[in-house]
Amino acid sequence: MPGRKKRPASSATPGLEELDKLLEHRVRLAACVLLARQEALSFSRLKQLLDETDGSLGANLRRLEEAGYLTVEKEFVERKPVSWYSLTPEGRKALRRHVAGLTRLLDS
Amino acid sequence: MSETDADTLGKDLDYVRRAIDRQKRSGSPASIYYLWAGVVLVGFILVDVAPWRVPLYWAIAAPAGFVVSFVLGWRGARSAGVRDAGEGRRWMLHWLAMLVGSGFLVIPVFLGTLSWPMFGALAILLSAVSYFHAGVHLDRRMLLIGLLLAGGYVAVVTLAGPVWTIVGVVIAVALGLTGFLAGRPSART
Repeated sequence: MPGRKKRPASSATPGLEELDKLLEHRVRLAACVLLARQEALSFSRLKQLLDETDGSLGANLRRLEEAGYLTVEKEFVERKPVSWYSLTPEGRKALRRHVAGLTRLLDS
Repeated sequence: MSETDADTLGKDLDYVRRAIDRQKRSGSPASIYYLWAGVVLVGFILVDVAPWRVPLYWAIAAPAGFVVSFVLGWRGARSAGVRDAGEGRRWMLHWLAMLVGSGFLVIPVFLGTLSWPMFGALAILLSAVSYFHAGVHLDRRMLLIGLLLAGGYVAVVTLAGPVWTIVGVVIAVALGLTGFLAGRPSART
């Protein structure tokens, strides 16, 4: 499974093994959460919602894309180039697992 | 989990929550509110000054306004960096229901069992319910418009004089003000 970084199953803390290493970074987690709520968001919109710099956001989105969690589509809107980001089915599954893990962790 | 880890996790989740809150704050573009402020102002004043023109006005303005609103909403969303066909469909179906409902309300008028003034009042009431539900499910800014329309319904069925003009001005100002507030940069984040 590309991009999925599992923890050892021997972890004593419940939920820890379900956490996704990629999504432990708050920018990547927040980006996936926002994209789970809407079909696609532009880079500018994500930057606005996450209050991050171009460099930081770009690097984090690239890592998610390389892991197969996001797809990017480029087009022109009102004659300006726009990059549209969407969550892949793999990304949704990873997010669901990670949130389930967080829930178990917080409940323990 | 150590205290430091728990603290870091707490801050990270706060960060995610803030991002979601910003996402929830955005709603309809200002242009749609301005459009309906103009349509309502003219349509309501006509009831007092030229009532014979009212059916034709709304027969054209309501569906045309619906189509223009859909286009403005679609363009506004793309311009704001949001692409969500599902959300667009929800908005469209919501307002289409109001449009179709108003159309059904005309049937008893043609059958002679409902007067045009009463049709107008019921159309305001239907609009009030639609705006209120939109405020609950789609964009909180519409709650106040819904309440004002409900008040407008009570006014037109109980008071005499140029009530429609007064109600029209109140609703148009409320729509215009909501549009102004929606158009501010802070409202879009």
